Amino acid sequence: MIKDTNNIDPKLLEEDDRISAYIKGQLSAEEEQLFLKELEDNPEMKEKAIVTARLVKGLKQVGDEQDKDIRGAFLASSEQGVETVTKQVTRQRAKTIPIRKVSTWIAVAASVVCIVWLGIDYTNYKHTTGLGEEYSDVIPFDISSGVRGSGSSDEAKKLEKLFASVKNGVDLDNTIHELLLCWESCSPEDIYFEPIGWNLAIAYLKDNNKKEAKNVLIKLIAGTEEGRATNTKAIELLKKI
Amino acid sequence: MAIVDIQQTQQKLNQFAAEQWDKTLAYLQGTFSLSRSDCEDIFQEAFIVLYNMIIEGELTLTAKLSTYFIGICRNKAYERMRGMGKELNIIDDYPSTTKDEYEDERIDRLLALEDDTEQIEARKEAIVREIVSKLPHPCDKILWGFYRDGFSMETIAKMYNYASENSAKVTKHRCVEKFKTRFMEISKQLFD
Repeated sequence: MIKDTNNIDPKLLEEDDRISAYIKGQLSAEEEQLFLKELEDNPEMKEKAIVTARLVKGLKQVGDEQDKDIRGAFLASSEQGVETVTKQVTRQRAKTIPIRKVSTWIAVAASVVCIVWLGIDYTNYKHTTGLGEEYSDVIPFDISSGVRGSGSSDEAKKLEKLFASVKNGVDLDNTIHELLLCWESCSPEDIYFEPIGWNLAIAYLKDNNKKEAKNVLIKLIAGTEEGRATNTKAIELLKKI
Repeated sequence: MAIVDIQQTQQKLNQFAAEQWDKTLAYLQGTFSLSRSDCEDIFQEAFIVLYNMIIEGELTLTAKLSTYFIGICRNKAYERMRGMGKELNIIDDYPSTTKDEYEDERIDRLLALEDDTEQIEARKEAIVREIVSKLPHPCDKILWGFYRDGFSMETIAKMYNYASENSAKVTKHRCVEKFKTRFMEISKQLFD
């Protein structure tokens, strides 16, 4: 659970709400008039409203441009192609396609290629998952007492469970998904930034996903101070990958 | 179609699908508490529906694809919940329509307060486009989710595991501040 609790004047959040509500057309006519009048008298709020308007306009322009490209991509695809894409991204296994007739020479050639490929792939697999095992326990995070002295017990319990799954290499798909949700909204100021990042990287390694493990480690290194155990170990691990 | 074109098309589609999958999973699990496997089914069915609508020209050119797609997923989630006999007392304030034209009018009214020339305005817009296409985490999810996709802050908080709506609002506030700082920095370099 992400808690962004650094103090911010509630008045500022209220101003944000009103600016957004104005842009989204959620104010009554009377409230709108009041809001525009307030902008005249409050230069800071006026500046913020203009910046927000710029941001929303930019998002719209970039979004519309991207949508145009995507429409083109859809139009150039087949239904089968689209189906394959969705299966790939959800990591659901594609249905097995029955092989009707395969010539013997193709089968033999394919087998040879397969054996060589499997050999290389197996070595890579062993290396990647081996790193996951080797580095699994090198940093002793104490979640139960809160990493930097705070954090709710429910949150800690949930994380402890996820970290245990990473350690034991069980239910990796779901564990990675749960950790990823936390990680993506996690900033270096969050108390669980380091343990979540570290465990997610280890989970990816155990799942033989080098690319994602590297991405997590890079973010982790960028978000931790030089000399901290997590920073040092993350650099070391990244080099080995 | 040339091989390069086919690859680019496939790449764009893959990227769009991957972005939508992350968002859809977070939305369906956060709002409807559906299992991952149910979310996968809904996502796949909805993607085909979107494809068919585009192919058959049923989608207006101004419709935001992402917003529209989530809307399809949302309807499918409701269908599935009904099918499972689950209660539908879900707080879900996802917009059924978009109000782009009204937004545009208000945005222009706010931008007019600056009184820039057309040329300056165009350069400022280019700077903004550059910044928003590379927003860092978690600002990309929150700002795109709130301002482009039309999710409420309450829904965003549930989707991305924030402790409360207020907590997500604090992050959003910081993201807008970061955007402002970046915009000012680049503007200063270009206009001073």
